[in-house]
Amino acid sequence: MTITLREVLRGCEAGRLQSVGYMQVIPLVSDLNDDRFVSPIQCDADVYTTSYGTLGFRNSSESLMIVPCHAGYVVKQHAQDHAMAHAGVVAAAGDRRYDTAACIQASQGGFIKKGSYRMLILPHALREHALQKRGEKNYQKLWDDISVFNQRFGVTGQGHLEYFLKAFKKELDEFVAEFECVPRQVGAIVLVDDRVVGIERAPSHEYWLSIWPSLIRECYGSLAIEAAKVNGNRAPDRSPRVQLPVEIASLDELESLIAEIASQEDERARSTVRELLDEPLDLQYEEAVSDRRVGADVSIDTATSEHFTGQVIRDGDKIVYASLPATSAFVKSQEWTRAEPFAI
Amino acid sequence: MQELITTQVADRKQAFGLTETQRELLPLAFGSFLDSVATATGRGTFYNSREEQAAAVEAAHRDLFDIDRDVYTAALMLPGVTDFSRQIGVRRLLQSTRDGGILPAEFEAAAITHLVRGLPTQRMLKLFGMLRRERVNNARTRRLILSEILSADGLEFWAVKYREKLRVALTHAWGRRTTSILRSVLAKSAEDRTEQESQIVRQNVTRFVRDDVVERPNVIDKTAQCVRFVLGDETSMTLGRLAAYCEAKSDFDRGAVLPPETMEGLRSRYHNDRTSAEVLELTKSQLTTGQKIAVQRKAEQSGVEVEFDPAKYDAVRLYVYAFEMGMTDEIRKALREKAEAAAARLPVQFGRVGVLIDASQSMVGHDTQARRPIATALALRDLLAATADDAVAITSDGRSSESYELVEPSGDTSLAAGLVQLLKSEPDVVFVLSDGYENAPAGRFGETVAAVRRIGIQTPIHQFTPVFAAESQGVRTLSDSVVAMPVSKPEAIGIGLLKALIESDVERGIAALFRVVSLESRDLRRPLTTQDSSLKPYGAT
Repeated sequence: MTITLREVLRGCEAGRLQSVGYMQVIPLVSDLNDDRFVSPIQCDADVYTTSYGTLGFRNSSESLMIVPCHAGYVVKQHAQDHAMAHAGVVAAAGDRRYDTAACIQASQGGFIKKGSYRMLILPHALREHALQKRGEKNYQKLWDDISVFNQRFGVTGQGHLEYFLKAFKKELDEFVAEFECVPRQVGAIVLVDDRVVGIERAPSHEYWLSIWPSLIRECYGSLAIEAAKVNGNRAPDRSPRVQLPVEIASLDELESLIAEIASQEDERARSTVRELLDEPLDLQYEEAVSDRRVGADVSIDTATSEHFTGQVIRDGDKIVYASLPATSAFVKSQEWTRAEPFAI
Repeated sequence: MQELITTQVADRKQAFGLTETQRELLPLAFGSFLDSVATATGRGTFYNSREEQAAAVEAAHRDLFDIDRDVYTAALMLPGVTDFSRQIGVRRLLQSTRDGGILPAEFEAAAITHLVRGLPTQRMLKLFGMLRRERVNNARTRRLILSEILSADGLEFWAVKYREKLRVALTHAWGRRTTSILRSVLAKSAEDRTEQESQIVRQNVTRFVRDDVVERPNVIDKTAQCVRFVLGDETSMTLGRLAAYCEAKSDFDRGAVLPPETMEGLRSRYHNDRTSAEVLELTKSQLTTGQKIAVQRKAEQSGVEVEFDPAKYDAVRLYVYAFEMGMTDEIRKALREKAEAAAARLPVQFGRVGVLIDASQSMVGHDTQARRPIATALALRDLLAATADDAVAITSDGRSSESYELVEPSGDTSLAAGLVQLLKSEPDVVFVLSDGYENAPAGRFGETVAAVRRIGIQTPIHQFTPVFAAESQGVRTLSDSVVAMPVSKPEAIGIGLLKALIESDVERGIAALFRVVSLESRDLRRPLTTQDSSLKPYGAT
């Protein structure tokens, strides 16, 4: 089956661009709010491991729980940290174990005790690898990728994601602090250094509020840190990307310039996105989950296009969840930054 | 900021014997410390977890304490310092022994007593719990705990309300062995005790009962009975509340004189057939001032009428309440009176003031202190407007904001356009009330301030921030050329002024600090009280 990105975002409108340093976020707002679905954070799900590579979720709510694609848990106890290699769906009042999960902390033994923990979403650079290995039952499958990832950031620690998280804690925290959810927001298009790096959509505003900190912190925040390194390791610049001219004669002129630049920056980001909207997404069926009590009959598909690879969850034709990080090739590619720099 | 404060500070300096190193380190450490103590509450914020906040707060306290213990102690006494910060401060002072200093040793003892007495009871007991956990058990600590508990006028009420916390605190101060002995000895009547047992009671209980109370023997008996009750002995209770506690287990109506939460505990254990609403109805006369406002939602749902007087609450609390229950004319009136009274005490007055309120989503704050940042901003808006003949207040999303009205936070943060809009109305001064996080886009505010200055407009622009930012070890500033000043409540606006002063002139700032807590000329041996006029906000008359 093939759909377009435009179809994934049906029912959404783009909100005002938020921009801090290298990262920009276009909020996606919508009146479509499907409360049949909750995140592990919303329902305070119990998370646990029973063996290396098996991650379990206990959903004690009355709603269907969608485990976000590449959700992970770094815990303080003596237990091996784990992450999902794909998205998951757990029925209301259900318990489900995924034996395709990946260990993200190589030389650590022990299982995660049943409990509620802070959720992360794997760093952007690891998500494509994780998705490619989603069917493998091998808890070590991400260790090499994590080692390469850590090396890129100058972090030692083979197969230990927590070393990266610890080394860049302050920067990652700041990303969470900088971007605010707007009313009715159910998703976002994330850009780093003028490049679209991901498209995310949640079933409801409450669901979005619960997963946004994990997405912006580890998943996309790691990309912004990488962008800073590429740009000579200079600290993320907090000044606006398009600056006010030096010569301004009056408050009236200043006022109109602020509005004009905001509008042009917004348009510039939107035009970058616009080019991608008709891109075809191939959907590969993974599994279906039906829950009569909730009245939901959903399917999980892996979505692949020229520039994105992720997963989509549909209830019939309706897209209720989508997580589409850009491919690493697309992120590295410069061809789509061809838009002329803004000038007045 | 300089122009705002220069006229407020007497042009006199005093040498405090600060070393060059202290002079160098103090401004930064003091600024970070003031940001922390004026805003940190020990809870998470919209941006930082509780743990992150706690670590940053500890660091701010440690840095200033290490530079100068007396400056640290005096700073804790500033009006507007949060209770949480005072708890941390007292614990730190008790943890280590004093060795020299620029002020007499009595100052610190008086300050600690003053700080502890200024805490609400539950926070004082929480502090004692902290001391236990940290194993702080020196003579000063034991004396403090015992004298504050055993000489308290409200010990009987505390005994039924905070029984377990009191037991823990007293056991920490006495030690388990002495506590056990006291329990046995106090079970006997005074006449039946041996001389040694009487000596134990005198040593550990009686000597902490104040000498100046009327009918001291009676008070001593009452204190001993309260201690007995706290330690678990419920036989032959004669004091009203203690007897009621024991009898309410079988007779529900006897609980009318007990605190609601105590009676709720007894209800759930001994009176399952009764409802929480019945408890509220029975005990509503026992609600504390703080509880009366806190239980309004529950009272409304339960159909119980609990009267509360808005005049008894601070403006921030009233705004938090109004967000939950709705704004009323009665609350507006109380807010107006509070703003006008606070404005009259401030050292500054303006002709025309501009106020820009950050009404973005982050101003909602953390779940554990929901809407406190925006409530603080609105209370501050009212105060600043009341200091002026004329005021223009707008929100970051361009809405005009009338005094004493609510502003619901939502959306992103764009302050630059609002700043220009305000400046066009030609105010004498602009105040920006924001948590310091800007994203639409980040940095535009600072850039706009720079552009405004290049145009030739020199209107002072100040930022007040109600949120401590753990990741920046202080309050977040929107622009390098605008000093961000911490504020937890409008009355504490002086802390911001003091921070700016110390950043510009250390010696003068320290002089002002000690003047605020009135330590330059007073008798330091006399315990300070919260009624002391010298503890009014800096510059107040």
